[in-house]
Parts: sequence; C-alpha cells; structure tokens
Amino acid sequence: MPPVSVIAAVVRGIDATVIWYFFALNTCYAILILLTIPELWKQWKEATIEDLERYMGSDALPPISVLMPAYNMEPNIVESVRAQLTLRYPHHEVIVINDGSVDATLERLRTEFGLYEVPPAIPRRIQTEQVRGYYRSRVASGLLVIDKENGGKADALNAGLCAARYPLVVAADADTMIAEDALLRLARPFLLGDPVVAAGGTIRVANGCVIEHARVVEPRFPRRFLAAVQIPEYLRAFLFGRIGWNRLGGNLIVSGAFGLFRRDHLLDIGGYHTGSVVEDLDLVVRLHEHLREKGIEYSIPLLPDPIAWTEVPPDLKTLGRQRERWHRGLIATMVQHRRVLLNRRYGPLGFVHMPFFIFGEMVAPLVELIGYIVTVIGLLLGLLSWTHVWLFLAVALGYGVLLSLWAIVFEQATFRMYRRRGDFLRLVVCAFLEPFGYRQLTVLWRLKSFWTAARGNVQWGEMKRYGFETAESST
Amino acid sequence: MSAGLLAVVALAQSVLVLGVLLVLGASHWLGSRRDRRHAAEKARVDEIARRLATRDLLPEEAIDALDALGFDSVSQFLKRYSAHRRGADGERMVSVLRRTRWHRRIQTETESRFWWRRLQAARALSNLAAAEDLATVHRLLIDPVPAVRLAAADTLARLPSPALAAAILDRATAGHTVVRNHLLEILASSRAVVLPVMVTRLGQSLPPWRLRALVDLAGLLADPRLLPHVIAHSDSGHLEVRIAAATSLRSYPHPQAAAALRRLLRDPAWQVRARAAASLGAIEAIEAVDDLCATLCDRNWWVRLRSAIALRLVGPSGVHRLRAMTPELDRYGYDMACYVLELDDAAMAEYVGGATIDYSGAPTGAVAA
Repeated sequence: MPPVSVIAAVVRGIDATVIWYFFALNTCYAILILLTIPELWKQWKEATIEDLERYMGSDALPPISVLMPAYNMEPNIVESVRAQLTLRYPHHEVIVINDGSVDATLERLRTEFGLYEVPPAIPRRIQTEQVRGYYRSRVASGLLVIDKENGGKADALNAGLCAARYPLVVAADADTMIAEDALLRLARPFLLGDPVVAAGGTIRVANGCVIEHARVVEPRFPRRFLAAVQIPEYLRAFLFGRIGWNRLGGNLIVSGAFGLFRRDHLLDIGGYHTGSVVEDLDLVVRLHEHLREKGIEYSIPLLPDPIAWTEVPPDLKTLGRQRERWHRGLIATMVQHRRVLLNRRYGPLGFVHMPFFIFGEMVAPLVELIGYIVTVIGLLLGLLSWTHVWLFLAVALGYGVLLSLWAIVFEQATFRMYRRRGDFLRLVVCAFLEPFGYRQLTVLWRLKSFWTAARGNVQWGEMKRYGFETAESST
Repeated sequence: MSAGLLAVVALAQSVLVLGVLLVLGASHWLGSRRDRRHAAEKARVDEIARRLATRDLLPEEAIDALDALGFDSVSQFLKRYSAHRRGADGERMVSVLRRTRWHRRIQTETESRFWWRRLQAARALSNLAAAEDLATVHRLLIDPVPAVRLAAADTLARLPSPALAAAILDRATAGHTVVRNHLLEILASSRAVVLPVMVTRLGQSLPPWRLRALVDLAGLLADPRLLPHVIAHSDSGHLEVRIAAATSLRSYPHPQAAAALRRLLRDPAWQVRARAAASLGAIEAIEAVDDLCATLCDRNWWVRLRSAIALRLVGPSGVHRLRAMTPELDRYGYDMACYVLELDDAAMAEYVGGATIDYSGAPTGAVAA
C-alpha cells in the first residue's frame, strides 16, 4: 500500500474515532442533564420549604467541627474566623490549623481572640507534622487553634480531624466564604433520614461580589473576563455535573473548599493523604472504596443550596497552575485507584464513576489534542475538506455552549443568584465565548499535567490571591 | 463520519441552542415575575398581620384579605400568627379559617402524592388542627418522609392527646437519630400528656433500640417518677440502653442516680464510662470524687476528659484532686488534669454543653492516647 494511502487511512480512522469519542462523551453529559432535572427539582423544593429557624432552636442536629487550615493568611484570618464562628448552626466549633505560617497569622489570632495555650491532651490518631501548641480562646469558646509545622493542607486537615470533638466535620478553606445558613442547609440530608457519610456544598465565584465582614452580601458578576468566563464552568460542574451524580450512586468529588464528612469514617481511612495534590478527590474515592468494602449503606450527595464563595484566579498564570494541578491530581488518583475500574466489588464506583472519570474527564484533553492535530494534517494533505472541519468544530464547540446554557437555565429556574438583567446577559455571553480560546487554554494546561504527573510532581505551585472588593470599597 | 451526518448534528444542535435560549429567556422572565409576586404577597401578608395586631382587621376580614394569595403565603401567615397570638385570638382565627376553603385544601393536600405538599399541609395542620383531624395527623405520622412526620408531630402541642403522644413515641423509637431527637424534643415540650405514657412504656419489655429512645426522653423530661425506671435500665445488658441511662441520669441530682452512675463508671464499655463521668459532673456528685480520680487514669481519652471535667465541676475537692495529679501516678491522667485545669470558664461551659449532645448518629471512635 502506498504511504499516502496509509496516512490517509490512519487520519480518517483517527478522525472518526475522535468524533465518536465526542459523541459518546456528550451522550454521557446529556444523560447527566436528564438525571439532574428531577434531582435539582427535588433539592430546590427541599431548600425552599426548609424551616431553618426551627433547626436553630433545636439540639437534634448533629454538632459540627469546622476545620480551617491556614497558611500565611495574616491579612484575612481574623475576619474569616469571625465569619465561621458566627455561622448559623446550633452547635459548632471552629478549629483553625496554622500550618507553619511564616507571617503573623498566629499572632493576629492570639491578639484578636485572646488565645491561651492548653496542654496537648488531644488524641493523635493520624500522624502529622509536629504540633507546636494548642490554643483556646477567652472570647470565643467554640474556637480551637492548632499551631503546627508546615506539612501542607492535607496534613493540617488531619491535625484538625484528630482534635475535632464532634461527629461531623466540615473542611473549609480559610479564604472560602461560607454563606451564613450553609451549615444548616448542609445538614438537611440528616433530617431527611438519608445515610449520609459526606455531603458537598456548591462553590460559587466570589470575584466581583460585594463582600462585608468575609460574607458575600450581594452576588455580582465579575468585571474581569477571565473570572467571568469561569462562572459558566462552575455552574456546569456543580449544577448538573455533580447533582446528576446524586442519582448514580453518589459523588466522586466533594469540594475541599466546602464539604461535610462523618469524622469516624475519615479516621477509619486514615484521614487525608498528604501526598495528593487534590486531597478532596482522593479522600472521596477512598471513602467510597472503604464503605463498599465494609458493605455500609451510604450516600454522598451534592446539595445546590449550601453555598460557599471562593475567589477564582483572575490571571492566566495562576489559573493555569490551578487547572494543571487539578488535572494532575485527577490523573494520580485514577492511576492509584485503577484496581477499582470495572471491579464488581465496587458496584457503580467501578462501572460508572471510574470509567467516566478516566475515559471522559482524564483523557479528554489528549483526545482533543489528537483531534486538532489530525484535523490540521488532514487539511494539509487534502484528506479533509474545510466544510468537514467547520462542521466538526461547530458540533464539538457548540455542544460546550449548549451544556453551559443548560446550566444557566437550571440556575435561573431555581436559585437565581444573578438577578440583575445585566449580570444575566453577561453570563449568557460568557457561555458563548468560553469555547473560543478559553477552552483551548484549559486543554493546554491539562495536557501539561500529564507531563508533570509522569515526573511525579506533588507541588501545589503558588496560588496568588488578589483579595475581594468589600462593601466599603464598592460604594 | 460523513460531512452529511455532521451537518445534521450541527443543525440539530443549533436548533437545540436556540430552543435553550428561548427556555432561558422564559425562565429568567418567569423567575423575575415569581420574585415580584413573592415580594408582593409577603408585603400583603405583613400588612394583614400588622392590621390584625392593631385590631384594624377582624379575623374574618383577614381571612378574606388572604383569599387572593397562594397556599404558601397563607401557610406562612398561619405559622407566624400562631407563633405570636395564641389564646382566644388565635383560636378565633383558627375557627374562622377552618370554615374556609383553605381548610378543605389542607385536608386534600395531606393526601397529595408530592411530599412537599403533604409537608405544607402538615405544618398548617399543626397550627389549626382540631380533634376531628387526629386521624389525618396519625396518617401523616407514618409518612415515608421524616420532615412530614416531624411537622405532624408538632400538632401534639395543639392537641395534647395521649394516643397521639404514644404514636409519636413509637415513631421516635423507630427513627433515624436526628429525626428521633427532633421527635423527642417535641415530646419533651408536652410533658403533661407524655409522662403517663412514658411510665407505662418504660415498664414494658421492649427491644433495646426502642428502650434507648425512651430512656433518652426520660432524661429530657427529668421527672422523679421516671428515675426508678432509668436506674433499672442502667443495668441493661444492651450497650445502647446503658449509654442512654448514663446520659439521662445527668438530669437527676439524686443520691440514687449518683450511686447508679458510680456503678456505671466501672462499665466495660468506654462510651458508658465517659457518659457516666460527664453526668456525675453535671449533678456535682461530691461522693464520686474517688471514682472519678480512678477514671481520670482510664485507658480511653474521652473517659479521662470527661472525668477531669467532672472533677472540676464537682467543686474545690475535685479541683484539689486534679492539682494533686502527678506524672508519676499516671502520665495521661496528669496531661488531662493539666488540660482541664487550664480551661477557662467559657471553654468549660462549652465542654459541659457538648456532653449533652447525642453523638450516637455518628459515633466517635475509642481513643487511647
């Protein structure tokens, strides 16, 4: 066979494979959308008829320990801790873990909250970096501060997990702004009698919002394009990606920025893995494995109404690092837990979750790259027509737009965070712009993660924080 | 794949995008309209409530004014009104409301196949139920959705019926931890009707999971008539019943309760010992200082913590024993004594409050430092 024919056959074969891959993947997303509709409706009904005032006066809700790892958070730590202490919940404690900060994080806490050191009579069921001291507060009895050597977020969370007194723990980033009623809402599945071992809240983009005392008082659309274009992404991820999974045996991701767990199960699996760069994904996969192996009935739902606001990277460099790290963590976790794949013992985890995350999420950027390369080669060799290329791009990128629009429909039909007409229109525009340029950039960052994962990189990389616009500064 | 097929898919997708855009526009418009309607209804309800409070409106007129509003708004109004205006005013409002179409609507909604409608109806009934609604309330009490059961149980405050109390007690002893705790709270707030039922039930031979809830409730009720039963159950062969007894006895500052708790301090299960220690602290059982000193050196962290806190709560003699602790006597006991002695009053109060919390929904593991 002449070489040109071979190349032509290969190019056409790969082209067809890529197209069918996208069709298969998009069919999975379509199924997720269909599953999301009844689930979101159910969650929305529950959220809207919830009697939060009644819960507040009740001792029946299980008490919660909020774990807050903090590293070099000097400027914001006091407001963040105050915000967590004043969350509306009948019984909760806040455990701040100062993870070897080199700035004055601990000193600020000591001054503001009247910290006094207590002897280290705290059980240590998980090995962590050395704890330098435990502090309680003279002004906030529900506050415990742990000062320890730097060991990373997972290590800090493990230290907090050991010191937590309550049966439920919420892992929250120190710079995440949890909505005032979010803990009450997160505890809803317990009231409905579900066998919940973990529950995820929804993360929303705080950039551009009006913020007062570490609380979002008015959701607004960000002014900067890079932050704005991430909103359809977050809506897609939370409002149908993860909610749809509630109907398929539970979620595989409970965001590390805001998630609730049963402490006893976390201790049983040895807490967070310190070697993982996405400790939340790794933890939930291990939790699924553990519960399946033990034959414990469980659910890991994502709830749309408990909200935590986070600052998304508004510059390309930081965003690139974040996305590269997320994908590197996904690759590492999937490789580490590959024995679960198609393993009957793990039920939906082995037959639905893992295949989707490996073939759908993990390898998607590789397939997309191959698609672009083959298209260019096909065009150069005259094997593909421009019509074919344009149609393929229209289908592949148009589907992304369609998914984003669905997520916005779900948002508008239920919680309507962006009520101002201008914000709503900008959101729709961002959904249309996202596939052109931004999507290719995320593919590039995710591709890079294959290289860094192969090199065994476990670094987080510097995450630059810009801080928020406060109510004072916006008026 | 042929360009023809791709063209078909692209065309279908374009139509879908246009369709979704239309849906999006419609949902935004409908959402805005819904917000405006809710705001208007809320303002209307506020206005009616204000005029009722200032007696500008009679209950009959208020009900007429509410007629144009939705079921949710009327439900909300009823809840607010009954929370603030009990007594003759409240009853007059209820009797007027029971003659309107709203009452028939509530009755119908209790049989809805949608649980949120049953929930709204159950909430409304808890504010306006009369004796003839008892059968409906009993039916709602066995609803598959716990939130509906809780709302139905709230009716007990309005209709103090022993049969209803017994039915709620049955649901409480069979439910999930958080739901059970809510039901127990409801029962504890209607003690007059619940006590006779409790005395009977505690004397019966019941499975441990039911006994446990009863003993928990005996702690919430803190009635001397229940003490002998709780003490009797502290010898139960079932761990969960002994845990419940050890917790409940904190509500009975009585020498018999202290004696039972001292016995429970030697229980083989750490959960029982920890709770017994906490309860001895709560009732300030000075006679238990020696026993608490012994459990301060327990192999379990929680038992040591609770014993140390109890010793501090007992008073000067307990504090003295904590101070007398040395590393030579027991290293872990010494660490714990130091820890608790260092705690300020607010932290102590928080620990004492925490001792009443039921951890059984998600048990913390045994910890030996």
